[in-house]
Amino acid sequence: MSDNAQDVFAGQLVFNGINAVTGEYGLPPLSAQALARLIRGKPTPQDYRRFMEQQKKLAALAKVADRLQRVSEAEVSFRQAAAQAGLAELQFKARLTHELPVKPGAGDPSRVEDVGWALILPADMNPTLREAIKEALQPLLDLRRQQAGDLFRIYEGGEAYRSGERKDQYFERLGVSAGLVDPREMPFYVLLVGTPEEIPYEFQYQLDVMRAVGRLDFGSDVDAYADYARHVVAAETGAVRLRRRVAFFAPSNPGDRATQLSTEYLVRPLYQSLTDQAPPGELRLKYDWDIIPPLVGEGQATRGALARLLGGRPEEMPALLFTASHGVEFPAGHPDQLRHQGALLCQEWPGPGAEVRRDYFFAGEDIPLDVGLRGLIAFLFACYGAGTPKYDQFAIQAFKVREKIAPRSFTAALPQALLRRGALAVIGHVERAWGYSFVSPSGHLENQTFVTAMRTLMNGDPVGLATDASFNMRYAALSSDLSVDLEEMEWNPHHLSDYELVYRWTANNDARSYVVIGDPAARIPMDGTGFQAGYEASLVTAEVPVKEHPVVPEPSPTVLGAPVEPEAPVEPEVSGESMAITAAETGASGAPAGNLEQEVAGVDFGLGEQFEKLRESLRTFTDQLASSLGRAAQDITTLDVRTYVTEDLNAVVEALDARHEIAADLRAVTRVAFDGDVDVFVPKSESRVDETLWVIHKAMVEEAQTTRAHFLATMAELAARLLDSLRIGS
Amino acid sequence: MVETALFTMSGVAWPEGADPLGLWQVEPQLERAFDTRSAVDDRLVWSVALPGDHQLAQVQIAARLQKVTQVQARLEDAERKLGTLSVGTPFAHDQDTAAAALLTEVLVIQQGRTAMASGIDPQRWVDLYHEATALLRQFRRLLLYYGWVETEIAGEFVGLTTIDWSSDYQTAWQDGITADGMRLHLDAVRLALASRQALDRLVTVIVTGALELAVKAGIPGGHVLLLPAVYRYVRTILQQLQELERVS
Repeated sequence: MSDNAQDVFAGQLVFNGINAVTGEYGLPPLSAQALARLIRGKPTPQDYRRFMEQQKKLAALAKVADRLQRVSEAEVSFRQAAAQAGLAELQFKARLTHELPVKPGAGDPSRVEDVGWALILPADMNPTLREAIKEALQPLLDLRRQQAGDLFRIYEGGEAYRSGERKDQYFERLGVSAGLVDPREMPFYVLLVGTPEEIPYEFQYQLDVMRAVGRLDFGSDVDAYADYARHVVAAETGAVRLRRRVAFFAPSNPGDRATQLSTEYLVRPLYQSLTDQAPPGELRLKYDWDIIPPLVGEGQATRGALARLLGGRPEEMPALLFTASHGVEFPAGHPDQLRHQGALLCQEWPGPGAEVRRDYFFAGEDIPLDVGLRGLIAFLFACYGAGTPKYDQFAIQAFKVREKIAPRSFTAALPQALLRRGALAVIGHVERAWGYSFVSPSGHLENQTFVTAMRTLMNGDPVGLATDASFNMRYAALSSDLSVDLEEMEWNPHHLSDYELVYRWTANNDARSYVVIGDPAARIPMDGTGFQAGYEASLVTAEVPVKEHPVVPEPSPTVLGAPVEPEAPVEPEVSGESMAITAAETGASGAPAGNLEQEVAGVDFGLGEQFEKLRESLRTFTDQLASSLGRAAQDITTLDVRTYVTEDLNAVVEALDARHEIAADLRAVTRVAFDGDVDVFVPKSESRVDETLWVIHKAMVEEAQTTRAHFLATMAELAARLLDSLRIGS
Repeated sequence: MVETALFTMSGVAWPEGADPLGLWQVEPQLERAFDTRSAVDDRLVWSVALPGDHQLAQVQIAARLQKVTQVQARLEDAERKLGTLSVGTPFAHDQDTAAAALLTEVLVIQQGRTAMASGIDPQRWVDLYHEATALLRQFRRLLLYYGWVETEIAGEFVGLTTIDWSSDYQTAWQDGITADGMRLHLDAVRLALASRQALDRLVTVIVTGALELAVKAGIPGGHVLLLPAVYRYVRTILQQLQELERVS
């Protein structure tokens, strides 16, 4: 610990995110005074000018439509109402004097058997995909149902999460009380399934205050859900046992205060703390762990070293990995944003201002497909390490504008890649991680949350419980205090010093935005713990083997300094050299890398087994077809045909990409009921209907009727033949 | 500016990277793992880029629609031929090369199944397995996602129609589009849907053909491994149609 911790806050404050295109900090360095002004929402004209200069710079790198939108008074009111709604529960949690987040008598919160487990699905997910995902997750659902009994729930249909709902609204609709968790009303462990567009991060944060929440988001890759379910079941039924080994990875880039800070004030003290099995006032470690000295700085925290830790070799792979580094970020809409944002910047990066070459950071695609990381839990301290929201929260607070930092909210590719390869969970950060949150202006180390989370995990407790007792509790306490402080500062500007305000604000934001990617009830499967074996081993339907070919994609040394061609929905006129995504970089081989293919290559060759696997694939296919047909039959009570006119079709595509309402003039709607009744709707304000448009609209209606008839006939025939084939084949 | 219409589809990755029906150019799929939330994943996109001359554009779409009809007829033909194949005489004089290749494959699987792969290169089985699973994967994508049709005329994006699973249609027109432009987009929608129906038919023919052959060859369960071979057979028949077109 530094003798003078105020040095940390003196001069320019820097943050844990590096723009991969410019090599500069994602958020330009600020003085504590300037940051304090922005937190108070009282920027000076110079602050505003500086912000706009940064925006111009970003706009030149990759343009995205509506980058900045002034926040309306209505939205400000809405946000205040939402914050107020959440604050009551945060204050409640902050007042909790006992450690249990569940009602007295509910039992042990570390046991799914006592406090239950639930799955929440989004209402607006493609119904076919939703059913396919549920089916893929079946082994996991069976396991949790077996454990939780009556306290197992799936929230779908009328109980699914509806777009735009806040947690308090959702609870009200479902009749769930706020405050201490009553697992009979809603279980303590909650797994959200879907993208952050379908179930927003804000909802996850709110729900996480009192519950243990995780998220699974593999998009439409149904196989990835199936693999994940099998990995968790394998881990909890004794098929996976890991040596108790924890590793730390912490680059400290030259001239970079952010990583120096995270190394000196977070990683080293955390390591020291964990080497003591029972320090006073901290959670006692129940088991002996091999605590590997941190890989820090020059020659240690290299990209190669991280690749070895995540290389799947049993002698090198830890059961628990903690990293602290910059996460790379990209201008909104940059072609690499979705697959690289949040990737970990390693020691090779020469420091602020230097170009960020592709071989300086470690991304999801850098983990070969054949690597098995079964059982691993990782904690990634990095900006955007878990995901990125569409809008930056900082700009709203500071400048009352919404800054679009991504075409849509998304889950980072690195945790997804880890989970695809067998990891059980990743704790990571959504948005920017604020390094100043673990040291107070008076010089106290404030890394207790990290220590508690790590110790909880090392004791074999579920990952959701590890974050609940640490970050969620801290978020509640800080948020509760900060709201009072900010109110007080309206009357007394000297209530807090700038340093204190910056510290409290960054710590609050930091604690709020840690999320779990994966099942919150997952825990490290290690030797010698009281792991609850005894669940039926038959739940492990198939061990997921890995590919034999050790294809390690070599990163291209491409320089990311040039302006690049943006992805849709970006305006097309951006000039400059475009950067090709090579197959080596993406791991693409023309077709999606499939786990079915991985399955066959990793098993001993056995014809009977292969036949069985193939039959199973066909059976799944048939089941999906049948269930889709069933749903289609339910949906065909009406047929809707809508016709719009717009000034900008590309904007419509963008809206559909983001699954938003499309901004276009609706000119005609025809609804054909199953009994043949036809309702036609045209705009009231039109004096007369555009004849040409109307003729085409009617033609579309006829086309739709023909399509539906043909489609149902074809699918019914296919389903019948497939069912025949299964009967004969079996 | 296009003089010849371009018909492009994306969202399905066929084994050889080309549309087995020979109707559309297929855009290669990017690795999905790194763009998993993209709604683009959820679409089968049919893009039609037409020349500015509406009459010429109409002729080109009509020609393509006619080709779909021919393909559908050819699929019926393939189904009939598959139904009449006799297993056990793979090198009969009256059978064409495509049929001989298919029946040889049946024989290999038949022998492999009964002899538990003795004497057969294990890699062959692995390859077969990969092919079959890749096909099933694409069939599944065809089922999960429906249609998205975009039309460009003279480089201008003019119409977009999305069709979902329950056959609900949404169409958005670029403001100012002419009546002719609208009709061209409607034709593009019809072409895309006809092509989709042909693809559905292709799946049915392949699955049924593989099943019947497996039954004839007495290899219960082997029909799944036969999917790639039957797929190749049907594709060859469809390619013969394209050859005929080139000659005529």
